[in-house]
Amino acid sequence: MSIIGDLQGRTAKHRIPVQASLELTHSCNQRCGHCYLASHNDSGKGCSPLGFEEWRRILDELSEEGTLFLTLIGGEAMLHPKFWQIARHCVTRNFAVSLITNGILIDDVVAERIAELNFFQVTLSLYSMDPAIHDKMTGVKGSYARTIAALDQLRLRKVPIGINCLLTKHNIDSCFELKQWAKQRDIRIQFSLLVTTRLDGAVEPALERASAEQIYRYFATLRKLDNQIRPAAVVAPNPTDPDSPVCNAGRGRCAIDPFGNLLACIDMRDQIGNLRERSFRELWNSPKALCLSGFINHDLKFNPRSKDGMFCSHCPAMADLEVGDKMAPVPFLMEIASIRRRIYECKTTN
Amino acid sequence: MHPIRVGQLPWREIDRHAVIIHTKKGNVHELNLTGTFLWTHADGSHSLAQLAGMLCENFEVDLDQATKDVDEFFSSLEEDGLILNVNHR
Repeated sequence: MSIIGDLQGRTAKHRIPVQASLELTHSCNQRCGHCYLASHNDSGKGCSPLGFEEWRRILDELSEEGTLFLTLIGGEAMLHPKFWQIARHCVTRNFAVSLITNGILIDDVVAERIAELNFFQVTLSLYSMDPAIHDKMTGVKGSYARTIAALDQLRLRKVPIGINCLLTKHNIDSCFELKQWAKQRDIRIQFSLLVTTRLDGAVEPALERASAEQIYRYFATLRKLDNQIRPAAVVAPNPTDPDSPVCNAGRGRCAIDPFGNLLACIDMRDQIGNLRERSFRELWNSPKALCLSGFINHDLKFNPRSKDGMFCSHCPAMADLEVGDKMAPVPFLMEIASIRRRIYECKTTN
Repeated sequence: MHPIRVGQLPWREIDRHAVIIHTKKGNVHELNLTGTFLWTHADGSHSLAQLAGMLCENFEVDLDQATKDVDEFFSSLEEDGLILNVNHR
């Protein structure tokens, strides 16, 4: 097992929040149809988003609790008015800082500033090699060119970069061109099929999901190319052990929203408490936090050792949003699991 | 020589073990208990000899072995780009 894998296991077991996602702002300069955020600004929430001094205190507290990996996210994280001060403090406090960004604000000057900060990783969202498809998905004409330019500026400065590509009905059929393009440039790319509903319950983003036929073709192609279709291998849990945790939320990771609410993970919006009022340590060890970190395989309302269950990476947050029960099966996830199982069985019998 | 951690390297003591990320190389290093002790005291204010003495005080090791271990440890970390050996003289 790698050091990171072993570290994730140990920190999950002892509830050390080694990884934290900091949602700096909901403001965004794109309008992606698949986005889970209910609004793209920070107003109308009854309070202002956290400022630099507030983030500084929280960061110092996270450092004391063992947090090492920070991911700065949004909306578009770089739109936070104090983004650079926050990022610099993260680096000064010896966090391994990753930034997830759409990249359209990154020109040569900004790329230089990013390079100086020595980030662990900068991940850009890129959806297709076809500018029309990418721009359609982001809702911003010209965003493809700007994101590609950002990638080039960062590569020039040897910033460790990666690509996140969410797969929807628009881009999944052409995603392997993007995979090939990234491979030729030695850029790590991660695909995900998990388009969720909006945090306010609106289903519009889910309408962007790839169809079952498209997903089948995707996994079939993946099998031919990489031969890596296998039962779900999730970070901490072991699907065959009833006492294993379902996921790492609230165990080895946590998230903080723009208003200081501590969350078990960025997708699970049950608020543990507010960091403006109480310290991180106090909230992390509160009964609410312990409750949200306590989901185990035994509690699942489907059998994780069934034929499809073995291929399902269950997400309690997604289940809560879509079916109102964190432990209930999510139809979309079970559909993906079923497809993966069928492809896997074809592979193992051929 | 006074070893000092390379500035702004991401690291944290987790479960009594120092975990260090070399961002440029993308390597992850995890130190054992004695390595973690030496790493956390590598702030540029202690010489190698002093660190060897501190190791003896805190762990069951004699001075000769501690001196050898300290030299090897910091040489290895310097080679990996995690430590600078600062000459205060």
